Amino acid sequence: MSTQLGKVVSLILLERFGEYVETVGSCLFKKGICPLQHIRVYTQLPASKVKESLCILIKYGLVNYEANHNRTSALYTIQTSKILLMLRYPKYIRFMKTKFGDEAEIILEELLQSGYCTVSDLIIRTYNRMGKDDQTPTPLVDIRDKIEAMITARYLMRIKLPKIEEAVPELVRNVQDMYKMPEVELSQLSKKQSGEPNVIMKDTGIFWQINHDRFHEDMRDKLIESAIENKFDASAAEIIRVMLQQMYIRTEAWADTTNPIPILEVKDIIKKLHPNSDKVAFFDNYINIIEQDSSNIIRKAGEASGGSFQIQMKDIFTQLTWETIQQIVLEKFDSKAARIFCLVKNKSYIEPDQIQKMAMIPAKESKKLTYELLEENFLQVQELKKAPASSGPAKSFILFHIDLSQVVRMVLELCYKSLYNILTRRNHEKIVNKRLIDKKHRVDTIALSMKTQGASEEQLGDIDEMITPPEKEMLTVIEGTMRKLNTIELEIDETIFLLNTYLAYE
Amino acid sequence: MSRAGRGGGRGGFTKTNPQFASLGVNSAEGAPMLVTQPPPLYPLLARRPVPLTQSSDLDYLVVLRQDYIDHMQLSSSFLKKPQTGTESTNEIDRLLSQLPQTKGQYEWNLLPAELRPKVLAKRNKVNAVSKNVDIQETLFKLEKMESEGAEETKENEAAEDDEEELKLSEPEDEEMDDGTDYANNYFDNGEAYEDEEDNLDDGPVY
Repeated sequence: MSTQLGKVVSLILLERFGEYVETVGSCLFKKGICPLQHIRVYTQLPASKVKESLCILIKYGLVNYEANHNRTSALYTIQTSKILLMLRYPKYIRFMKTKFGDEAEIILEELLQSGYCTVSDLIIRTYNRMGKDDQTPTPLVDIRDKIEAMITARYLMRIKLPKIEEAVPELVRNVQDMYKMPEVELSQLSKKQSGEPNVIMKDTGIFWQINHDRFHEDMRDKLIESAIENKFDASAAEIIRVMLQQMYIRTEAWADTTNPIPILEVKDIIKKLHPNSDKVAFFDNYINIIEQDSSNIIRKAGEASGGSFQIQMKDIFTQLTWETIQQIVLEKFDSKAARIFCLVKNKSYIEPDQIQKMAMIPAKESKKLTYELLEENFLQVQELKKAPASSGPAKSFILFHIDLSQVVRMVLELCYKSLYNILTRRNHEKIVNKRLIDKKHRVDTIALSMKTQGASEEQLGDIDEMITPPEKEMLTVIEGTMRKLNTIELEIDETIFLLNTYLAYE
Repeated sequence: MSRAGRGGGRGGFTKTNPQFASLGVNSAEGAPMLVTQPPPLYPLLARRPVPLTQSSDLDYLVVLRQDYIDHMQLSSSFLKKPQTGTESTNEIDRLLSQLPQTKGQYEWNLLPAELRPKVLAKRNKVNAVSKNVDIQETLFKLEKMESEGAEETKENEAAEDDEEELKLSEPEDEEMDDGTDYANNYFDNGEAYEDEEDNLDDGPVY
């Protein structure tokens, strides 16, 4: 929890919920656990606004609360990690689209937009939304089945519900029913959809939210797959994909090392999926190559029945993190520094003199680069003092080493910093070009309304000319910058995901 | 001891020359110059960042992201600060402010009671009790209305009046049931003290 993170969080809140919520959010970030009165005094906002902001934050799962000691009022805590995850929503949505199809995409979008929702509400909203987007809406049954599929696959889960009614309800999760699809009557549903009032749904009060962890599992698997694909080839990635799939049958999702997976099982599945392909023909070779690779992806656990292998999840992520950080060093300090960094990594503890010799870089330059890395906290120094001998100068060794988890945390901080810079830059661009963006917006609205009223081509052309050519040029420039900044935001999130996964395994 | 003659200048806490040398500190060479100016606000970048790889996949993500944010900004969860002082001259802003602000709907039983607006906190109890009765009664009335048909409007009004009366009378009943009011909590923790004033500042309630 650093100031940098606090700034990013407040910008994210500002963009999605407006100023009031942002003020309340950053107050909670600064103060930690806080009762309502303190927030009001600290933020100097009208009470009704503070309350509404808290309602919104709780609704989206961004703030938690618990009762104080005499159970009369609540203490609020902000969930910074959840707020950061809002940057990952587009990835979740796209993932749903590829896995379950277009309906699932809309379902998830609707759910994310409302925080939590009952299944019947979700079905109706999805249905209406499809109608609005000029698609032929899929029947309610299909939407329900899609949601059921998503729930059984554990992408959605029930939210915590209060046990008894109190001033400050204590929310508990019913672990048994967490992924149990409620009963939804379609006849009632269609009645409600056609706008009949007073339709009582059976699943009232059973709300659903998304299960971040489940999405992260898939993102993690995707990451491993693409890493293998980059290192070996697509067939190897396919084999690993099947292995990961088999892993879930036997192992907890976030275990460091999976339980042994019999290789014959994997082979059978591959045979079924791709009969007569290289993957089957060279299956054993692929497994051998992957096993013998230096990055420790899989390890043989036993010889019985053709052998069984364990996937070294933790090792894979340690490896990926090392690579990422080496790449960062390379881009930040250039190749010679990267060579020094690599050397220190391989030797684990090394003296400055040795660095100069082994990296084959002139003494002066090597010193300069080493200290640059030290200054930016990519290297750490360890001093070893020898017990003073009876004669001669006291000797001590200075050793350089890398503390990976510390470096990872530091790089995460860097990520937050660049995120903040990007978000600020985008806001700046918006303010500077506000007039132009507003004008474009206005012209677009007018053109759209004219079009619906059936205006002629000529009229539409006239409206289009309200924006002068130089203005048009400016607009394309602005659009390009915005797209670039948005893309960077998504890319940084990718790095944050990798580093956080590493920290989770640690 | 041979070192005794050197005096106490070299204590155990400072480093010896060879130690400095091993760290790369030599006499005058490389010593920083005196800096009299503040560093530039935007220092020149030593290296250009790597260009972004464009892909349709990423573009799609950007679109999704924008969609989500646009939706959030139009939803009831986006609390706008009323702009004071400069009246916005833009038509768009004026049009936007005319849009009916939808109040957010919350599940109050999932939230601490202190967050509920005052009116709702009181009414909630009544509704919970009289819900079943109300539905039955209104249904009954509606059925009646259908059969009578012609005098629909008058009946309607009457029904509404009845309902209001029902609601008004309900809380009294409840207290009567209790017999005594010892059980009621009259403790005022001072929360409501400033509430009323604050609400006045809020401007119109939609």
